[in-house]
Amino acid sequence: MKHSSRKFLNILNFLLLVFLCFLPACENPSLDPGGQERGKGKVVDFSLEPNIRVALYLEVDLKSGKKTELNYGAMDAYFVTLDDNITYMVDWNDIEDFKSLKKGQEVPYRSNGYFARLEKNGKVFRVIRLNEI
Amino acid sequence: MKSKLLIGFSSLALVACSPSAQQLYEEANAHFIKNQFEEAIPLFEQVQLKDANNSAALAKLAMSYAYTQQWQKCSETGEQAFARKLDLLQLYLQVSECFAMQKKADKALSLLQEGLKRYPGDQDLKERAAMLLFGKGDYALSVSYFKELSEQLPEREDFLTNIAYGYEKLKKYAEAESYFQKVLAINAQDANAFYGLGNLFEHQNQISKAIDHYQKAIKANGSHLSALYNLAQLYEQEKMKTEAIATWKKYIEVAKGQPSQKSFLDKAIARLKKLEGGTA
Repeated sequence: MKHSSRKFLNILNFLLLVFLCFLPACENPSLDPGGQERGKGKVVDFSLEPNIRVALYLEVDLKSGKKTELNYGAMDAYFVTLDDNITYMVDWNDIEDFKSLKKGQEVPYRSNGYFARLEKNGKVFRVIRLNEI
Repeated sequence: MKSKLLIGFSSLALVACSPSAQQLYEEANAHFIKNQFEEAIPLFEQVQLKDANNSAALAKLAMSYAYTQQWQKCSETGEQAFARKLDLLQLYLQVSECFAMQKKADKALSLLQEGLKRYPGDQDLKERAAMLLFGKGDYALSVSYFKELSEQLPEREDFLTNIAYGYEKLKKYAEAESYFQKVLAINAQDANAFYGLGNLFEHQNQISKAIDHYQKAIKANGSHLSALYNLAQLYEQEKMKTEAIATWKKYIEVAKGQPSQKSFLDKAIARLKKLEGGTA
């Protein structure tokens, strides 16, 4: 093989590698966490992350196709996983309800209209109010 | 030189390959959710070493110790969690249980009462505190907790029974009787309520009424050991020899093989022997 064609192949391989490396970054991240707008579920798990950077955005803006801007700020975030295997972020006004949850307890909830995205891992959550139908 | 480099690279590779605190937490949590606490514990412990600020891991570690009955570790980890202002209801319930299981009733009770200040409406906290208060001899507060619980859950006969026992300990016999009657209004065949009434009348020296209620307790539950024992004693005291012998025999038959009855059983056997003509 000629030197020039080998060099060309090397460049091609390098470009392919660069493309593969950046492919996930180019992917458009989904900002819709799914989950029901309201419902009832049994508590399977809970979690809390103090002082974590979170962006909050409105579900209505996302669904109407408006450009969603992600502005991150630090907050204490509380999460609950229900038996639909979906983890929800608990509304910041419902921390007392969160703290009094028991494993296996059935809890009614409804969405507060916000979605949340964590900066550290890009995970998105529906924000819910607890004990509300 | 070469070997030093090799060691250096190997250590780097090991560090790079070891799971991060977040990965460990997720692995531990997967076990925790499935109630696989034995598997979750060593992973949560590693999380604590790598990231001491992971509050959720600390709380779940304390809970996992409680679920696996590692009482001392549970109470120690639980105290760390409370020191970090992790005031979850579930932690109050489980860590207080861990103290109680180590026979540290005062610690358990103070934690439950702290929990009640935080979650005043929680029935589980109140029920456990009421039981511990009873055990400690604080009958007045125990009765008041059980009364609050009974108002919230009027169908729970055991709350009414405990109120009655509390009043009996406080020597408020009329109140005690009225609560035993409330139990019988819910369940006309409640052996414990009949037994309680029997006890109550016995304390007031109303022996024939006491005998009558112990008999009713035994009719409702033929294996009611306390009713059998007390009734046999009363028959003996009232010189009703035949009835006493039959009741001691019945008690011995039911109590045999039950370790909790050992000392009572020995006494019962001695009483029976004496009644049948032997020496005690």
